[in-house]
Amino acid sequence: MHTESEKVVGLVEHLFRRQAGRMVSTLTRIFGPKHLDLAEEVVQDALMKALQCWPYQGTPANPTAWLIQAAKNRALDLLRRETLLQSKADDIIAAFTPNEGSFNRPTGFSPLEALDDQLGMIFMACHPSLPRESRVALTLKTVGGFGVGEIARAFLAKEPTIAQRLVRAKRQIRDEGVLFELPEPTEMSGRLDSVLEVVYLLFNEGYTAHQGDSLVRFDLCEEAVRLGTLLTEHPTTDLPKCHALLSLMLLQAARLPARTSANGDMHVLGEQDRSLWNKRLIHRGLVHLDRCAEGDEPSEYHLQAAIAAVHAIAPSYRETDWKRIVGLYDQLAAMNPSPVVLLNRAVAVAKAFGPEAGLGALEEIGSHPTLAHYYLLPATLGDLFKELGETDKAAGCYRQALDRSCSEPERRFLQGRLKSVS
Amino acid sequence: MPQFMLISMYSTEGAGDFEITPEMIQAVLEKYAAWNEKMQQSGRLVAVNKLTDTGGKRVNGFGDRQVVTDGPFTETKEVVGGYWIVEAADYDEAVEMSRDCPSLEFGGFLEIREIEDFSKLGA
Repeated sequence: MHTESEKVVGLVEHLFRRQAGRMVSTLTRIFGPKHLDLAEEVVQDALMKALQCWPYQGTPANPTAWLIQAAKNRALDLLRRETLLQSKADDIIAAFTPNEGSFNRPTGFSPLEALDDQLGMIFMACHPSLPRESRVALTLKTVGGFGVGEIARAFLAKEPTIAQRLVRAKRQIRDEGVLFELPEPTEMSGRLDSVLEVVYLLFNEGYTAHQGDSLVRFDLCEEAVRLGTLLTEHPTTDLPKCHALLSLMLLQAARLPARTSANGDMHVLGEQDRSLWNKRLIHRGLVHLDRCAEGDEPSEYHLQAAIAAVHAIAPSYRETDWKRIVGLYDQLAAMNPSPVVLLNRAVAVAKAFGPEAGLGALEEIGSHPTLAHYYLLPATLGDLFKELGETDKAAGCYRQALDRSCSEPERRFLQGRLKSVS
Repeated sequence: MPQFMLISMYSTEGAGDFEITPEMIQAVLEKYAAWNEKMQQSGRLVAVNKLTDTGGKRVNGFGDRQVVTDGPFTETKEVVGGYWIVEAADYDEAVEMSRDCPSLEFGGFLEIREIEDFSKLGA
């Protein structure tokens, strides 16, 4: 038996979750998409075996290798039961044996195979024929290694709802014969859009400070960045728009430590303590922004990343290059004149050209139906009136904002604003 | 110093549909690692073993009526998972060492039995 001094102190963060994701991906490739349930069963059994043994055996010196061995044993056991899959034994052994298999290639040789399997799973889970909510849940469950309960808490949904969503998604995959493979080059761009949409949704869900389990939500941001990174690491998906999305996520994630205070209060960009921004993430974000400039046409992600970069390099809110941001929003609005984009543009206009100009920009979108329930519109109006010294109008706007739905931290923020003009 | 067996047991009833996620498993194992570390550091750990979860045999009766049955034994509601043997001054101390055993958080229980010290019973 090991003595504690010989063992790893603590496990790598999310080791089980990540390893589960990798192994489910490889097993799904080997068994086929119709047997996703079996792949999950094998992996769950392997993890449970660790739960049964390690308390007595001690944490193995190489926990990953132990889990891979357990999964291999369990998969081969399962093949005895599932006669249709018996031909897969060689594939299992090939993938799960040390020094030969997907999980154990020395990095100099070909790290692509393990990456291949995760990407194959991502493309399968994000197949465009699946409803978007299903793609999100399935991606988190399979390649993400999240549990049903964790997914439910992250999206403020009920567990049975998520469970049902997963059952239907798997059935759809079976019925439609969705394949486990990387898309052909001709299809890649479209299929990638479907994946990027899911990844960005995951990130946003984690990033926006709604009520809910904050730990799980932070995990979502991490997972989104991880998936985005995987995409940029594989030759067939190493495309500018992937770098753009990754850049955007990294630059936004850099701000997370300054975004929420210890008691859960929300700090808007203008009030964040920039010394808390994660410089390493900013650096990575800027590196990927560079990489994404190699393409022909900017995607929305390019523009959003560029905007995030302008903020990231500004020493303060006041010293930000607002005119550049307005220009970027002009381009973004041309591609996607959504009310939210236009609202953000109006804020930038106010900063670049003064509050009157900002009010003008807001007037253009004020009556848009999508913004009718969005608290940020009256809140932004309130800020501009406050800046112009029109405290009564500002107070009215903040009250209107409070009438609209928002999270607890957002509510407290608005009440603070209202107090400052009352 | 007296020795005690901490027998880790769990009930097969109400095993429940509740989900155990990879993240949860890792959290439990990290607790076990910490608990085992504490045991090791205390220098009181004598032995630890886990019993296999599958298989098992039972021998009942004798002579013509002897019957050997194969496990698992579904009529048994409580199953022994494994055991630790520790040195402790007395039951109180053995209990103190057991209180933060992670299996207790997850529906298991520990039965603590002192190991008979025959040297005290006479040569």
